[in-house]
Amino acid sequence: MNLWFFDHRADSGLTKFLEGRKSELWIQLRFPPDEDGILESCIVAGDVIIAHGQDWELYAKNNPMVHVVRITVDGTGVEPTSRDPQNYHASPTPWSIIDNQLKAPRLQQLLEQIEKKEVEKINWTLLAPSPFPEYLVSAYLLQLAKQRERPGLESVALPEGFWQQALEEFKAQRTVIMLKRNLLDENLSIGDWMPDDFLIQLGIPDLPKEGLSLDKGLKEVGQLFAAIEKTAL
Amino acid sequence: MMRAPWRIHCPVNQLRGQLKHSWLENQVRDQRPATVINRRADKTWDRAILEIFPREIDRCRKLLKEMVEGFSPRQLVSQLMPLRQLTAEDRQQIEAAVHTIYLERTGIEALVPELDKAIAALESELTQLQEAWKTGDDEMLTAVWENFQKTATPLLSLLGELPKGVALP
Repeated sequence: MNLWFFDHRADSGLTKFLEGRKSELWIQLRFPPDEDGILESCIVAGDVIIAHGQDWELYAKNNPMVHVVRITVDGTGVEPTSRDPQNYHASPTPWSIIDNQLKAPRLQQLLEQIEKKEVEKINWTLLAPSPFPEYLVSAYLLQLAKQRERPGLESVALPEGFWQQALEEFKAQRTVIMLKRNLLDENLSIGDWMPDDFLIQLGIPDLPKEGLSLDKGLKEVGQLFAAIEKTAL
Repeated sequence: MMRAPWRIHCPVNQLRGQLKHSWLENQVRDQRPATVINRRADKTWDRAILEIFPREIDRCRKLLKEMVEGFSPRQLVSQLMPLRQLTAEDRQQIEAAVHTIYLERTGIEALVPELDKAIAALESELTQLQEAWKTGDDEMLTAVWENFQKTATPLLSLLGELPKGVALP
């Protein structure tokens, strides 16, 4: 089970409570408020989301894949303020009443699971750096810089084992799930900066010599992503 | 531009997100005049209007000042573990090249004067709002609030045009 804690302003009492335990937890992701689309790619069935206020309203309550624990200030599951259903953002929520939040039975149970390390991962929103495929980004930036023909850069090569590490990073981050959305570059074709053998390891042996790019056709790219997903998941 | 499906965190993007979503969307765009009138009556928004909103204007200016450098991929070159094996000189070359390409391809510098203008307009409107909040009747507050919302729209739109993390040009 992965436990997600949504608090996009990082200002709730619960954030402060959990922050004190941060070093004990596996911390992974950051999602600024208008990037919730990425969440859909990462959350899997059985995960638990802790959220309250508008984080609950916006990101959690309609997600069919997860168990949702709705935190309320008094632990009853009912917001203390009389919310205007047409304008729920208007309700001020006294985030600071952490003691009462912790009386919510399910939340208390989760916190106990955290203490016992029964929760595999905590995905901390807004408090931890996002993971991103560093190897891919590194290769991309180097290739981009080389395009500028800056003196000395043409001989700079990626270290040995680089793409194997990139593959491991892919799998570790579940990047493949996100990749199916889009990994296209309008200026460098994929073949320019992802070598054939890397793509072959992902199960794509027939990469066209000239690589794939947006203008080469979405059909080919779709096949590429399908192959990546099938192989790596 | 690389159309990557991931976001690479940078502090200016967090600031951008907070200003756009927590302030301009939640506290401005989504607040109806009737709600604002109620907030004045029950005194729950005195601090927001008189202290927090001016602070948010200041934070807009901070974003304005820092955004060109703050979204640049130049910052990644020293952070990316796989590139640490390169020489310092090579990394500097990469930094310079990717920053130049970033400026060319994002056109982010062109947004600076537009953003500056939108912030100044909203600051001016905030002065009107604070006056109406303290001394105006409900009708006046309604009109001023609607003006404030209208004036906030270009700023909201510009914040939406900024990158959502470190730009990969």
